[in-house]
Amino acid sequence: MKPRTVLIGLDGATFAVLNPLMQDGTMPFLQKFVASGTHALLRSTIPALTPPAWTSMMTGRSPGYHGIFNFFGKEAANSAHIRLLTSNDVGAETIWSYANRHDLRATVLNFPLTFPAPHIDGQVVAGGWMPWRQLRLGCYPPELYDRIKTLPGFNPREIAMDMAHEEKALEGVQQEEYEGWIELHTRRERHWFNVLRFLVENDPTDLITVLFDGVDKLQHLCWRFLDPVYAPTLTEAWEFRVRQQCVNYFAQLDGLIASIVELAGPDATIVMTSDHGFGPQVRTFFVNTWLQQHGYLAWADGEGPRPSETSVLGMKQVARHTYQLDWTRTQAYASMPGGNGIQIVRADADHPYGIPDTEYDELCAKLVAELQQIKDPETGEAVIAAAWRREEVFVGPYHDMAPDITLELQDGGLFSILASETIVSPRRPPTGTHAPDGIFIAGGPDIRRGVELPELSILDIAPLLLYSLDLPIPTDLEGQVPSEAIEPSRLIRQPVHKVTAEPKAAVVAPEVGFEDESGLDEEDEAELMRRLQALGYVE
Amino acid sequence: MQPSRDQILTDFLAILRSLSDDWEYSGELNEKTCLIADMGLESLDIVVLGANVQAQYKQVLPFSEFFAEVGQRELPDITIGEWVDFIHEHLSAQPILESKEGVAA
Ligand SMILES: [Zn+2]
Repeated sequence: MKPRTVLIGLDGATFAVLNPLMQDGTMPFLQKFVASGTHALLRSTIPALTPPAWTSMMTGRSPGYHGIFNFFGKEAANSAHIRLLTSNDVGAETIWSYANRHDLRATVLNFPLTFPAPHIDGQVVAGGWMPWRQLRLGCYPPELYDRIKTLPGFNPREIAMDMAHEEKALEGVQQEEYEGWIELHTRRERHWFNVLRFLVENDPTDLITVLFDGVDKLQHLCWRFLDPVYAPTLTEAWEFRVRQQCVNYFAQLDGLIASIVELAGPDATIVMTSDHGFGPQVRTFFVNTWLQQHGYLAWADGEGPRPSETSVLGMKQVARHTYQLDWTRTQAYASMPGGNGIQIVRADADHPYGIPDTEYDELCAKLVAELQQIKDPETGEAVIAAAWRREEVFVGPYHDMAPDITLELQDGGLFSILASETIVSPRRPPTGTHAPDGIFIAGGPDIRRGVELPELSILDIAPLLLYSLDLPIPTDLEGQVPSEAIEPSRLIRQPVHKVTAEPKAAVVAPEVGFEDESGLDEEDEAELMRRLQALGYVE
Repeated sequence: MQPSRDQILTDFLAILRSLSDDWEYSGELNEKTCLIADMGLESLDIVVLGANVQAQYKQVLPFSEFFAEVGQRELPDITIGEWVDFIHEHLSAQPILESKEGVAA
């Protein structure tokens, strides 16, 4: 059996980087593939961040409906406590689970929010913030880890997340460290490819999905080595070497993509996407410093977390704002890096100094207006392109788990939640950051050849993948099958078939080690609902 | 049924044993073992272990308060005994965390 549909995820990929690499011969396979298929820009979620964006791609639902707004989430709608989100927090059905319910099997490699590994009929190896020491728990079926660890060259420390490396990358690396770091990501993609090849050769499923996230990692750190705009600024020998390493990464990736397409065979539909695009980040905006200087936030020690406090990924990250903020004098704050979200402190038993309901709207409106006035002191340019109140961008059952205000920065970047002397500081040279427009490339016997389409939505990908598997499209998916990408003969043979979404889709439960409690009586059930409501899980 | 403290300890040691083989940790595993200093775990490992505990017992536990307290210690670390105490103290009899997938539909 051969897979019918393959999704190759390239985290953060942008045509701004890929086009020159296709033109200069670094990515010959991709160039041919684009020319012989359909491509378009792919509009990301708000915020253009990895966890909400991939979750939207794999569920066909926007964040208000799936509940993933960031790597972290609030414990409850008005809670100041946050926690790392997991597969349990995904509130909409994934296409993997949907395919299973229609008797198709799926392979899920390296996607965020797949830990603990969901019980997908097929295989799951979790990605995202999956620490290498616990990768075994990120595999389903559970014995899968023992199978993949025997693969030649398999190295859990390289294939999963090694925090020491990640923290280094967030701080920025020294001149002599670039090459080792880029080579690590080059090897890492090969590890994922080896797992994929092993599974396709030994236990192929109908829907293969794999995510290569080195594209995002490289572009964050090495933007100026990749973006042709900055090519004239590369002058020293070591800079050319780093540039060459980056080019080598993409050349290797091109080879892996070619091999995957070959493994899939000529009948498969191949879709390549990114969750968001990329661009230069020219400045850092210290949101909590702005809030503090404008009287909305106070640090308990008067100073707040300094840029040297780099423990952004661990225990401290989920907790430190709870003790570093002075809750008697804080009305608004940002506790999660990445999502550009601002939280308002609502008055309750734990936060007697919070904002009463009667003053909430007024405070939000005032903040939105003031934030949009912030100017870069050097250039005079507005720092913030847009500030959205929750109800403007998030609808759905999880809207109250979203931040009260979400910012879009002028340079597309992500704000810093650390404290700083200044509100804005220039980044010289610029680093890379997320941008709203990612990529869509598709090919296969039923995909039109040599077509460029107007921008698609990230929400269109789930319907397309389901269509390619001959599955009906649930009406509650928010996107459309991009029929302009599909050969008319196929559309005639197989028109898009929509079905009313089932009110309660089958739940694919995560791995659990504790006995199931079944047979809840009515009272238990009422109590369960009450607690879920309190936690913000259901309305 | 609410698991006993012994059961929680047994469960946690079993998970740590199955995992620590993968990074060739051969030191002791008992209530006094420190997750970071002895076992070499990193801060993110502990956050993820917490997420796994919640999935295992199908309950949301106040890990962020726990981590806030640990984070303020002079040497932020947790012994296996403390971890088990925390879980035992906060587990209520009734599992309340169901996978959300599909629930919202
Ligand atoms: Zn991403």
